[in-house]
Amino acid sequence: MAALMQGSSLAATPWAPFDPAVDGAWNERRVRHLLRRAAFGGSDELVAELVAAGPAAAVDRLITGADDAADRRAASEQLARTVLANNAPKRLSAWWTYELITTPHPLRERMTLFWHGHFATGGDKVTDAEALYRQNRLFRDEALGDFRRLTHAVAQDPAMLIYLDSVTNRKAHPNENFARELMELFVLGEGNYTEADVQQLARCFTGWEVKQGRFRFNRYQHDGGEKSIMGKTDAFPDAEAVDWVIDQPSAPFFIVGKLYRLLVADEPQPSRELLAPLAQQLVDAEWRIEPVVRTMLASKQLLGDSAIGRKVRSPVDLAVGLLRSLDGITSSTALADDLLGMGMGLFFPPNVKGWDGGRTWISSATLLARANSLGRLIDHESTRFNSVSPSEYLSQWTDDPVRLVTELEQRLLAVTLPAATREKLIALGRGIDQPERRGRVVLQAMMSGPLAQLA
Amino acid sequence: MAFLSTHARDSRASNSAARPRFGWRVLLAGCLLTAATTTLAQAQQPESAAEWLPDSTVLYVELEHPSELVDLVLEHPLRPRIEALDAVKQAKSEKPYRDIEAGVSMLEAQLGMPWTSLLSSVAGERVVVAFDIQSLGVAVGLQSADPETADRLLDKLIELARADAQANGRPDPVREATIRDLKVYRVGDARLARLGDWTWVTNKDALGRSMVHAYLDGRESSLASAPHFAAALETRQAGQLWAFAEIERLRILLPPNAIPERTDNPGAELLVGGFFDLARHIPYISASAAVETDGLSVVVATPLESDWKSDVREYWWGKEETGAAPSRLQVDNAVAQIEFHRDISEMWLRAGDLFVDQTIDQLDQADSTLSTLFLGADFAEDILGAFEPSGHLIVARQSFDDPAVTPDIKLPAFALVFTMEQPERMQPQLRRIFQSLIGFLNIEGAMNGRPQLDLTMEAASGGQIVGAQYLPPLSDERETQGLPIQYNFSPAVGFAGDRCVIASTLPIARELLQATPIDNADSSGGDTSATNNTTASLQFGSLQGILDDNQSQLIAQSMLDDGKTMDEATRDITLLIELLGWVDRFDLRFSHGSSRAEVSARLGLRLPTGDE
Repeated sequence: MAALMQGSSLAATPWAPFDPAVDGAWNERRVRHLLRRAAFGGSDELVAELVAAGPAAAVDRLITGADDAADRRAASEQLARTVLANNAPKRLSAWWTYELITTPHPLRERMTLFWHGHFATGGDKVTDAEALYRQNRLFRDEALGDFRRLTHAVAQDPAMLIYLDSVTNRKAHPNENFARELMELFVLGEGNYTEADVQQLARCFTGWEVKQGRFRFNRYQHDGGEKSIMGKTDAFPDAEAVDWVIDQPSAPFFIVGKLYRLLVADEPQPSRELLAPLAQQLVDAEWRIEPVVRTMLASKQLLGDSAIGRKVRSPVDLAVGLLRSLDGITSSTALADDLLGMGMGLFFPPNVKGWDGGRTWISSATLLARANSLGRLIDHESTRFNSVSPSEYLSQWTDDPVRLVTELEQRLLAVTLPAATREKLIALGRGIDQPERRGRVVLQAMMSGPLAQLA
Repeated sequence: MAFLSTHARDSRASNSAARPRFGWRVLLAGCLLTAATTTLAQAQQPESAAEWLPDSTVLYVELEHPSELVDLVLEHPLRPRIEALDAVKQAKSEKPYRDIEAGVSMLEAQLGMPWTSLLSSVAGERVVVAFDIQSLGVAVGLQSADPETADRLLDKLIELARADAQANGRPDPVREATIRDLKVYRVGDARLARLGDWTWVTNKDALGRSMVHAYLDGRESSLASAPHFAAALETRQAGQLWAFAEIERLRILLPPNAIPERTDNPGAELLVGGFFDLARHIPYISASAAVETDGLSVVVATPLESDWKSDVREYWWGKEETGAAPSRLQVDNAVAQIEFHRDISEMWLRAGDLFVDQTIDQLDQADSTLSTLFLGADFAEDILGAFEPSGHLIVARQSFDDPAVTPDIKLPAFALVFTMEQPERMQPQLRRIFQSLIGFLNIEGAMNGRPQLDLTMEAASGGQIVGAQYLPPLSDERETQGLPIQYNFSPAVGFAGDRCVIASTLPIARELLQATPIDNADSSGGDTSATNNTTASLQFGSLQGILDDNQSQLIAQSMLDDGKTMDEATRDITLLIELLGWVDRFDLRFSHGSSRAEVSARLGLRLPTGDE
């Protein structure tokens, strides 16, 4: 592995830390960009705090979360426990939406959501909300933690095994689902294994079952014989097969490649050379995710001008981002339903591949759904920005439509509005007589436009 | 001359928009101009304001001594508690309340008296609201205790309104006219006149004119002389508020089939089916309401004739129209209790006459399924028919004493109590059916990973209870502190003599098997033949307890559904629970006799004791 990364060094790569003296001003625009990528956006107060802190300290702040993050997590788990009494995955979806909006540690939630899409498991099939919650808590525990430990836990996670039809797995008829997804979707990516590897690896997971919602190893149904997997012949006792898959050279590139698409840019596909320093860092850090994420967030590659507006916002980024940027809150139950309608139901990924992301978020149908959902969010009776109604919050700018558009643009858009679009929004604001409607209509129009779909 | 038919050009709307700061003054002046009067001494005071109203009046509401009602509210023992609520303090600190307060203070200063005294002067005796179906006019009348004070007030208010208009460059908003020396006014769309110590406001010339002429000359036929009104007035009960509605004339305004012959809702039919009969026939209804320190009572009464009770609803009214609800049972921690007379077996068999075709099909399917479940017995005849046509529905708060089987969401227990017609024949059959049902639930539960029920059998109150309880889970089976919602249930069926209890929990089954009857409230209205068809009560102390048991669930729901923070949600739910504690109980009764039907309701408050 070391040979693979030979010659890679962070200081001399695009992953070198962003330096305001050389790479550009550390200002509100750049902080809002960082927050959009790492934290679904942030309030004016947080933006000011991070501008003052500087890039390294700002990333530190995102990695550790707010001071009360630990206390709030305990309260959040208590809320989840209460919600679980209904045993309804959709209710759990509303709970997670609430967490995304209010969490004092948004990067952790960003990464929890990432792992949820990576190790996708859906409530349409796993109807036991408790199992889904336990899996979600695992993702949160390991959000910035140890990928190897996380993968081992997922391999024995009841929700995952139920989702992949692996509730029973007998040596006479090994179930290949988990083995295939482990290599294709979770660790290696397509093209890095053979069909024979899948069949052999599947034998390693025989006897791994789910009983009464718990993982159980049935030693009588486990195939303890030798298997040949990707050049190694062994009995692969316990969970050594998982380690062997993770130890393959393509594994770190696959994982940092996905992190690149999460945090830096949807496209083009990053080159192997670009990813090599990060892959090396991941291996050097014994598969701990946090150092790699820290490197990416603090890098010229992410904080430089060229990365701004290079991603398409997911529905969660769009709606939660709007709320977090305006210090907002709304009915999580209603928003969770709307996220499902926009194709990103929490706990309801479309399939085991999770969400494809990028350009696939955008089509004429999804744009319409996004506009309608944002309209409902802004007009919902429970929606508040900075503790007051949207109309009242926006009234600070509604007397002057030019200022209204400018203030919203600064807070919500990654890229500058073209002059013609800007003029149209200003004219729209001027054309509305009722001040209490003006702000909401302009906000919805701005967020429904194509530029607002970029992060 | 038309009554107040001056077509005053009302430019105030546009001007008030330009000068909103004077809006409140115009509003208050407009409201209080209801005291606009003129002094004519020649007319006689009527015994009732209804003597001035035409006999085409179809709605009449009369409030006696409104100032006493205001005093009762202002001096109510709960008022200090209400004012101590954070939500009330918050509302009082906000601009709308402060604006009203400032406006009232200014008015009091101008008039030299507190607003409560003003109310006593202007409408100290009565307030009447009436609707005349012929002119489509609404009339509001206020009877003053002191005509001289009201006159002074009128002069002052007219002076204020005119001064306000003058200051804002608007024309005089008050137009004056006379009808046979009686001075009348028009302000906007309102026509005003002083008739003795009554001040009347109406929106229609025709109605106003007819009332002025009735005042001056008397009226041959008035609302007061209308037979329905007179009959309704005879049954008036004590209370500050009395209302009358001429249903016969209002019914013709309803679209065809507004009261359907057959419904698609068996639940509604079971609950209020008899009211569908009444709605087709009753000529009028009247209502009396009394507000007292310890609660609010309302009685709605109608005449009743035997012919109005349809044969198909004999199940509801009872044979010979004497179907009576049983006496209430004494139950600890009851939240709701309903006692009723309903021959459900007969209703089931008469489904073809009572329900629409689609509902009949659904009931047929249910009948088939239930007959199978009841081991081939005819569900309507053999099962439902085995009980007397009256029963109890009881909902009660549960006590969750054993943490090992305490669910997260804590539901109340509920039970049905019936009297068996043939206990010896029914007991073994029901016991067998119950055991089969538990077996079925266990098989279905095992297939879906749900906990299992353990059958029990015990002697109780000289009878027997067959029950089933969910077994406590293994300690490491779930991570949660609590348990699923199933642990609210320990279904049971109990027998003692001819009493049969079907209950959601064993404890309530035990309690109900030995529960003793308590006296129901008397059927009122002076009709000695009256029987209580349905009685119900809701006890807020126990309801408060259930909400308190589920406080964390309610807070979570408020956070997720309403976007509240934990502090906000906690405050809201705590307030709700506290408010429920101020209400003692709500009682409802439907009774009917040979000539009268009556719905009476009472909301009782829980007044603070000396040490609260």
